[in-house]
Amino acid sequence: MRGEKREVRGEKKPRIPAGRWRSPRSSALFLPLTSGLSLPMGRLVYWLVVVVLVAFCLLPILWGVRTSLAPEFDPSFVPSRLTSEHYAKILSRGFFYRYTINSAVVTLGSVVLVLPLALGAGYALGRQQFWGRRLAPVLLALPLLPAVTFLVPIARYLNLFGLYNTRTALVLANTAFCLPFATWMVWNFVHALSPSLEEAALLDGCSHLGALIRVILPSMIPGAIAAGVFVAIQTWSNYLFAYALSTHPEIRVLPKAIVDFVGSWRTDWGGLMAIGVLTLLPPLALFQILQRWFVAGMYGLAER
Amino acid sequence: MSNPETQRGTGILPVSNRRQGVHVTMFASRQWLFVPALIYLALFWVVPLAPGLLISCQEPVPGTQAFRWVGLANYRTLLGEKTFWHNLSLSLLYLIGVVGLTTPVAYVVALVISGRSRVLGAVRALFLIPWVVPPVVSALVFRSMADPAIGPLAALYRHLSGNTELIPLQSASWAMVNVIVHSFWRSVPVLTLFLVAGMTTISAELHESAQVDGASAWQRFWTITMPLTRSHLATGLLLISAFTLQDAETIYAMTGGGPGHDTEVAAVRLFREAFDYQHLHVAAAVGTFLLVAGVILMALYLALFRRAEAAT
Repeated sequence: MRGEKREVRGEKKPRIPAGRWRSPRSSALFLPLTSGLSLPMGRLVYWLVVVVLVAFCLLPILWGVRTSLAPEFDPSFVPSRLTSEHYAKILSRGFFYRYTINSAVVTLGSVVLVLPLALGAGYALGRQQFWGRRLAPVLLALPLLPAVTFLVPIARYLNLFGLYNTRTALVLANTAFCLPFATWMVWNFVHALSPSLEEAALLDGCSHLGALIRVILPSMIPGAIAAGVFVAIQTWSNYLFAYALSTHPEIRVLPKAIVDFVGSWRTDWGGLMAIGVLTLLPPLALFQILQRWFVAGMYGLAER
Repeated sequence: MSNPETQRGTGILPVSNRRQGVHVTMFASRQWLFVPALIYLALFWVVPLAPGLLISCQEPVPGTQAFRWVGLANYRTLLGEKTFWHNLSLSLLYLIGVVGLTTPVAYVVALVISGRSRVLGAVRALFLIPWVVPPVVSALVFRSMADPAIGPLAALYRHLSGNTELIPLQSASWAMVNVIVHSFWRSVPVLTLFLVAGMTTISAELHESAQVDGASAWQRFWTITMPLTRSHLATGLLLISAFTLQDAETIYAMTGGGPGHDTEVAAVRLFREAFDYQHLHVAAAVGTFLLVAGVILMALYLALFRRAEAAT
């Protein structure tokens, strides 16, 4: 993909944008839909399409929020009255806090475990030609293999080490799944960084370790944030490993708790959506706050 | 790779000896930073392969905890069974449905958000949100939307099918529709990301000169935008295909594979066999089929990657 890019772009060298979608400064990319229409008409159609697409992306989420606030069995899209009873019901039960803490511990653990591994690997790949460069694409494409296939062997494996039914097991499995993408992200960021800073540090008599800690690590913070947000969102949301590697209610995480509730609360959509919304809030907040770095990271991932 | 500074640092371009010297000493130790990640990935993605394959060639001895070797018998049983072919065809249907719906919509989204406007700047991040929602949460939202008592999707499906008594998740075909629509909704942001990345590499001059030559917007889309985003499209679709094929959790949360086996794609079959029925040997055999599909996708991805590397 980079090859074709090079052919058409001539002298221009687009770099990974710092936190925004780079839009080509030309109306030429405008929707084919609006072709043949007069300018105001074309604008109207264009914005209509934007509104429809935003609705497409947001309506299911709004529906979830609506259902969590609406009285039971209210079929109209805009409920007749709003109620907080579903949230009150969820928040009054102790288990919700336990599951939230479990989720937070597993998520934090995965981020803490992935980051050093991904930063090291991404940095090495981004700065040096070595045998790893040839191996890296294979390793980093590993998530294309079905994780579900690995569940049984991994479960046995962790059982062997006495880790089955522990939060550690969830951290380890989630780390394995997130590490490839996180490494891609860091690699991309390192690519976009100029090595001159490190060179300067070394020439000024900084030791290798000193350069690594004082100069390189700080410059990799944006990459680390992007990768960290990615890992946090993935791990917080993961149901597969939670289901396969834990049966004990003590270490149940939120996604597993939600699915488990469906059985007993089949028609209590209000309560279910209330937990759903509460589960959605942390990743959404993280995304909103660190969007600048995260979008750039995802974007770099796609540019590969 | 676009930055000349970086390329010098990575040793792709020839550099002066003095600078090279700095790099050699400086980077000599750097490659070992790669090793911990390598070991970790090998432990979790490569080592489990062998036990997985081993279980698929065994069966439990009734009444004991032991397993005995049966060769390829599990595979023969699977291939001789109607349900498994149903699982495989549903997987294929799932894949085709999601890819077929996602591609055009992602193109429209990508074209729309690469337009220039201040308002757009604010809404651009909104298009990534479906990806941020935990899969089981969105699966349950879509399940509630297909609930005939309250759900808007149920009303839509009833309207489309002309059956006012329809209970979507109890009907084989509409349950599958709901499953596909949900994954489609989640996949759009992923593919859009790839397409936008592709579109930003197309120079504006190319479009402008085509415009001067009298090409319509449609013509420009088919002759410039489409061909020049083809490799991004391919990579994005590979990723979506891989995730769709291995997706067990959203279907499991939405329908549990039912009604009957009618939304039980191969990944859900594996999941049910392994964790609901404890038939580890059957699950492992199903897993081998999924693994083969995954390896094919991975090989395609690597081929794409190599081509891009070679062209750079």
